[in-house]
Amino acid sequence: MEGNNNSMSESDRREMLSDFLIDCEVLLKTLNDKLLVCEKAISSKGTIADVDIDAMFRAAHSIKGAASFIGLENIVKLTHEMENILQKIKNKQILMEEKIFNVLFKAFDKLEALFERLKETSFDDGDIEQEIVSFKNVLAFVTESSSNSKNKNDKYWQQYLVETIQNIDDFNKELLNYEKNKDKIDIIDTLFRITHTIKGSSGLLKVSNAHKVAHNMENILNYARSSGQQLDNYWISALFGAIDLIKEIVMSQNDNRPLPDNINKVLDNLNRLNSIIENSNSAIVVSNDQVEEKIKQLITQGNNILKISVQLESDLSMKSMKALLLQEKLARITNIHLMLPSMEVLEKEDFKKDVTIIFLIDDKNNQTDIKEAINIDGVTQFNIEKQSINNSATATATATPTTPPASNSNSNSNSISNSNQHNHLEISTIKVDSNKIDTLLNLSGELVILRAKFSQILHRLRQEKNFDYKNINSIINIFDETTSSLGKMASEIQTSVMQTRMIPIEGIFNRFKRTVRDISHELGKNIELVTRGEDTELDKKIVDSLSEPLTHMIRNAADHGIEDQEERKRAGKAEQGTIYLSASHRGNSICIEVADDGKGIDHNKVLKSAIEKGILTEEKAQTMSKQDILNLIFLPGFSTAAKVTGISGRGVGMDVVKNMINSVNGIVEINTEVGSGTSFLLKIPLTLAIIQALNVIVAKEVYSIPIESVVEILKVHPFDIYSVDGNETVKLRGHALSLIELENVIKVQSDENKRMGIKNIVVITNGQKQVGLVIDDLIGKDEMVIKSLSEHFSHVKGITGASILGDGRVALILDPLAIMREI
Amino acid sequence: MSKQILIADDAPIIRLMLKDLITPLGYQVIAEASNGEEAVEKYKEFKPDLVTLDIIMPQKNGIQALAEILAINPKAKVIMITAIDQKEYLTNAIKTGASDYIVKPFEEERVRSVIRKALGDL
Amino acid sequence: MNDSEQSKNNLNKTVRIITQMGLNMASVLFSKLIKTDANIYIDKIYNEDISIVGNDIETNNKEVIAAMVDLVGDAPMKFLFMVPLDDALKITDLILGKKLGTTKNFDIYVESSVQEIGNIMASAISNVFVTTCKIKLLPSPPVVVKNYSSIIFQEYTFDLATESNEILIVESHFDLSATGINCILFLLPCLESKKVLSSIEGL
Repeated sequence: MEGNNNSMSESDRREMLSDFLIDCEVLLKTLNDKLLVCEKAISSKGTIADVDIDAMFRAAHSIKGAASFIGLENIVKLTHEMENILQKIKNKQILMEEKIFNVLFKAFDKLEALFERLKETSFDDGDIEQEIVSFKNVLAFVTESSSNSKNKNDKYWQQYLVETIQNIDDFNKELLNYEKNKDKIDIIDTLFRITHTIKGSSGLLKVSNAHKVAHNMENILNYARSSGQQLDNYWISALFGAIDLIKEIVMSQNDNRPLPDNINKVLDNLNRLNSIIENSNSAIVVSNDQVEEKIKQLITQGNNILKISVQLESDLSMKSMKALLLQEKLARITNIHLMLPSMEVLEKEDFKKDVTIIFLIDDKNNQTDIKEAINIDGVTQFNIEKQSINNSATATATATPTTPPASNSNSNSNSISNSNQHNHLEISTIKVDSNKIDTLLNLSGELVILRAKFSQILHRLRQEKNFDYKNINSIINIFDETTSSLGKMASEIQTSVMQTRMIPIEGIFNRFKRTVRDISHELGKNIELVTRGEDTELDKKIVDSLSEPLTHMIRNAADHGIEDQEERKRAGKAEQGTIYLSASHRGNSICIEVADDGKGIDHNKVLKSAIEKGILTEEKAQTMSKQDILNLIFLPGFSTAAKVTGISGRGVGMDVVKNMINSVNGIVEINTEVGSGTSFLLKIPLTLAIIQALNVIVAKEVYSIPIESVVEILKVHPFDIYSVDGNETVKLRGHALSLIELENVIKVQSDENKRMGIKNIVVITNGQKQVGLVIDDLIGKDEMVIKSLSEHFSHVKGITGASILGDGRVALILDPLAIMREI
Repeated sequence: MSKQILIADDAPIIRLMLKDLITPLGYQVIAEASNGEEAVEKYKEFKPDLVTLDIIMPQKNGIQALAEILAINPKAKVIMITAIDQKEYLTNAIKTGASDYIVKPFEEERVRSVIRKALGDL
Repeated sequence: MNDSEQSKNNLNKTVRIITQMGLNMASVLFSKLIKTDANIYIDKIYNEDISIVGNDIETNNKEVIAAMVDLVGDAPMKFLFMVPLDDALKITDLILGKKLGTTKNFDIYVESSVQEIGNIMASAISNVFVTTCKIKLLPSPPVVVKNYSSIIFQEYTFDLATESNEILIVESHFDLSATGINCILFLLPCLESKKVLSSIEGL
């Protein structure tokens, strides 16, 4: 298209400009509006719709096109850059994160300024250099998001995700183990192997940030591996931080959200650690901890200690021989308490780098002799230091390599700020034991056979000429048998399929170990998590749903339950607090217990707090049992914590926890003793689709009561029933048990012939309270497949579903929790 | 007076090489021995400041000579000359009381360093 | 390929790999000793009739200085290093760092040079066998002789020849390019060693 400034006449230009300005007004507004939408999305950590990106892109593109027609160079350049970046975002090559947004926004401001200028002077004067440069800069550092591998539905991505998460969990487990058993050097090998795997697959799927971090970790682990020395706490924390970072990178890519803000800080720290390793001349990661501990120990025992560091030349062959020589010579003139690295480690490999050996010896006032002994060929530097109890970790310039400073700087530079970190992970893929699949395959094979049998029967029916009684009967019998087989098989298949959805609870238990470790460090307490029943299997959905409430309970236990070491010592308890986590099957339910040996919950405090909050009146308070009082903590808005810590006092009270558990039809009970500890017992039905239920008859209809809620069955004599506040009540082992008739809760056909005689009562519970449900007859325990009620009936109170009995009758499944809410 | 050194090795060329390396350092090679027996005798006779002993020698090997020399003078400075695969012998020698060791074939700089450091001159 | 040929091949392969490793080490040390670069490469591995092996030596018979070392241990072997008289003189000069041609006669220094070479190289080879095959092996002190190569070679292979017609032997040549020196090295595993070496895995 022709047309440039020179050949146009002034009036033409002015006319074009005027049209241009009008057209662009709309486009600029679009840009402005969409940019604001983006801003909101970024600050609320939401996602930006494709249509919005697209609109911005088209707007920029149009402005650019029109501007180039007129020859407005600056506007063209600027919109070109904007268009460029927007296109990349559109194609999912990069993500719209804050950095990018800021650059776009600034560019837009500049664009508007140019337009202003244009209106005033009819020229787009302005300096856009800075904006252009910032576009280039930001593209260089941007989060990559290559189209192919990121797609959540991509089959390789799913596999990578599942495998990497598993690897991350394994890494955490092994590192926790190593932290407690630093002498198990082979764990380092395992850790290295896992990291290497993560690095490899991340590289393949172009998750470059994860690849980089894994590479970093590999360096550290390789370093530790080849030197055979123990990693001290600083390095261990760094590794924990690194694996968390990888998890964050993978998950944020999966959820298509940007990385947390402090990621660069953590990355920098890792890089720094790596460069310490690379630049250090020593092949050994000096474990200051080990040395310092030994020094402290020896000095406390009354010894005068000298610390000797000897650096061996990198080119020296047979370093272990040299080390032996040093050891022998020193041993002749003093006592050696510690030599690091040990002879076994030195013999293992011939290091090509410098090696520093540390000796802790008795000070026999013979420093000249010592100097003579250690100043041999191959020794490039040595250092002799008197040790006293006040000596902190020495990083002498001569011999030892600089180890990074100890723990304090840990928390910020090592950990990721995302609070959602560890436990709340929902991946839609599941790993299934191939044996389970084999079982299913077998069953489906048998199903085919059964079908053949039915075919046979049909065939026989067609062929049969003589339909006399005997023949029919025989056919009926076969049919009956086959149908029965079909029923059994259907059941087996159903069970089998549900089995495939079962995963061991071990997964989240292991993550909790990490949680407890981190919290212990944060709070400065000494807490151990003991688990039992890790291989208990539950439906994946339930495991996912339990993750959050359990995390909260564990955090609670650590934060408010377990006392700090001083307090525990004063109370005569072990300095280390324990949180117990156990899972077991009971009937068709899962029992999970979260217990601690902390200070317990004082029901008096609870009572006081409840009265203060106005939840209870003083009068009501008098009538409550200890258990009733404790159950108050499940009420909304309840928290007796003296101060709200950053960990559990986030406003997620026990009521939310209880609701979460109720939502999977589970119940939670509390047991506590002041000074001894607290225990929460969760009972959850094993599967959501099949339940064990107690079938009863009320007013000629069958109702199923889920067995978790059933406490016991009673027969009650009318004499024993008395009235309290208009409610029928009986005395049960000293406690009052309210009775309810089902008709009071759900509209049932009231039986005219009200039972006069002995009443059958089913005692049900919601974990806190108990109530007696009056029934007419008991059928018995049975396994019921829940069929959910259609939409129309979903709001019927007290009923959660229906099932079909063997005889074809419909049984309505009661919701005990809802029933108890009604009274 | 310059420090005196006794060289013991069954290979004349080794003795020559060592001598050529030691003499420029300002030390005097006071005697040479070609076997372990001779080494101990010459030590008794000359009481040198330092001895170099080949680990493998006929008629009493280096380890034995080392033990006997140390018996005569527990503070004797004895450098073992060893080949790369003689680790067991070398370990033995170190535990018996050798002051340092040199690996064959020699690296000139290393030989100088060993001798001078052993004599306290570096 | 039948079984015995197959196992012969395996044995050859094992010996070839480890020996080359040993020779690599030996050449490094040798280079250090004579302060000149030396490359030692395996010429051939014979696993056949002794007469064939000796033929070449016969044809090139000359006066040499030789160092014979018995390697004693789990896989006993015999090591033989031969260098022509003139070249031995040159090597001595190199070791002592003197100008080529300085040493004119066969003296104690020439003799002990060859001795030390034998010592150092046999040690290197032994070391490699020990570390890779995890066996015990130690060299005994070298025996140095001045004689004609065929005679020396006969004596070298004598014991083994009485035990079997076929012998396994490694022949290596030295390449000291700058100086034009030629040496030859043999490694001869004894009968029992063949079994030990055949059972080395993981190569």
